[in-house]
Amino acid sequence: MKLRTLSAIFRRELYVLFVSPLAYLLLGAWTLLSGWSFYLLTTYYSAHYASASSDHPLSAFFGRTSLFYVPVLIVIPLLSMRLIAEERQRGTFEMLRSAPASPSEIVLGKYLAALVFWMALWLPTLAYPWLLRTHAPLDLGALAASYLGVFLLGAAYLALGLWTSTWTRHQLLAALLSFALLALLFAAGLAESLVEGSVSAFLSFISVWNHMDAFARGLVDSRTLGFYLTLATLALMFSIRRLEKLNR
Amino acid sequence: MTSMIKGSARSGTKSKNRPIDVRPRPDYRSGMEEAVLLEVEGLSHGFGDQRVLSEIDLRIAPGEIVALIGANGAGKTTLLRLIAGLLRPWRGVLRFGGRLLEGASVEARRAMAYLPEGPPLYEEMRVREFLDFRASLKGIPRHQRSKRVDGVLEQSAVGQVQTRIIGQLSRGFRQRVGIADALLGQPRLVLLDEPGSGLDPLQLEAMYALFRSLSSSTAFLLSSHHLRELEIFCDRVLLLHGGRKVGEFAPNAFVGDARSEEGTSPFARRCLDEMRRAMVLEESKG
Repeated sequence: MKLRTLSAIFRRELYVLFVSPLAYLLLGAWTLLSGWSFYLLTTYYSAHYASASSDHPLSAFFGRTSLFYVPVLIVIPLLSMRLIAEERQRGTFEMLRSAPASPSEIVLGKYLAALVFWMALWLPTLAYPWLLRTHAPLDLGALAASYLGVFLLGAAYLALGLWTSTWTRHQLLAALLSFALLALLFAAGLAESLVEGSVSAFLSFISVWNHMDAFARGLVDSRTLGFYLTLATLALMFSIRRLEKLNR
Repeated sequence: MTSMIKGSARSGTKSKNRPIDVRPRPDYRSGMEEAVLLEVEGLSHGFGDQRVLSEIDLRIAPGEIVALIGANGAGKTTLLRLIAGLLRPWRGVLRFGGRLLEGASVEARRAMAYLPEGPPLYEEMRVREFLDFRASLKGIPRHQRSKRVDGVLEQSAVGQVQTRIIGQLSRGFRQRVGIADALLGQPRLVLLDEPGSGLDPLQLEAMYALFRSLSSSTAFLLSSHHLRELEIFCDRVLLLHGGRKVGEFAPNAFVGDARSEEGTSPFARRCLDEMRRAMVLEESKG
């Protein structure tokens, strides 16, 4: 794998992400949604200060309400749908391959750019702790762990989204497939209370709700880190394998 | 297209009376390994259970310009894509510079460029940005990129649109941007699928003249239906039909032959006759 080729693909992808109207639409909608979510939570917490005194609006913001997950499940498929599907639809995938760029360079270059864009979506939320600093004590460790959780969640989900983008030439179909896969993974975690025994333990282990809840409280479990990194690595490996098989 | 025309010593001197290139041709049949740049042996391919290419043999010497002709669906694009490494052959061997292409290093692959038909380009990019991106993909060092991009912009006569967005360019300009891209890495072999598509007659002539001017260092394998230009600029023509090679001849083999009553050149007449013969043969078999 050539770092120069990977870097060229990464830079182009980042350029496309930041100049495309969809990207700005996503960035705008995301900022509005997260701002609205933050506003609702702070309003709620200020109204119920006595009963919620042990909690912090920021820990609720990072994954303790569906206001976090619903946008994530929509934005990630929209972000990842075009990564490979668009190249195949336009025919530029062949140009990339004949450059020559290897499937691993293509996958990793595009993935890293999408991951950078994902983290850029969260930049405006850095203002929220600053806004709250005079009203509630700030736990910087919990805040850092929350952003680590956001990063890991994005890393795994974007990798899965990229994988579904290798399945089809149609971006919308790729987005739908990605949404279905991520929603299934999310719902499986929620189903832990419906079953018992080892199945429940497994579902608890893969529950994104539990993971984000722990991160928001400042708990970083190495098993959770391992889970997300393994999920991302497997999805990227499957994507590379899929591209190797394309046109063969 | 001025610079494309300027690029060729031949284009300025050719006339109706001397349509055939009489320069010495590379001897691809010499049997010397170093005289062969690309060697294809018994190449077969198909999609699903349908075979689209059967037992193709082909040798290209350094600096040769070889054309693939044949009706639509004859297997020209599949052959080019197989050589470009975008398809894996069912059977057969591909050697480039004496080495097997299967599993070849990136460096070996970079010695070859492929331009698909109606080249797919990144429409949102500006021409220069696109070529700069492609140069970095092709491993051209940063300090050489600008000079190399300037070079191909001039060669392909797209310098005047280098700041334009590709999506806003005419088909002819887009085609020339694709050609500029193919030449960026200074490849030893350029594979071109219908490179003349979208070009007007002057641009077409200039393009072939450019290929000829570069042929001291670069060989070209292209598919085309432009028999007049192939006759003037190509060293050899391979006729494909139904996935098989049904003919192979050099345009200069017809020097001295008379034109037909309709004015068709002997070379074009041979091409058309061979294509008709192949079709009749196929129908009689079918």
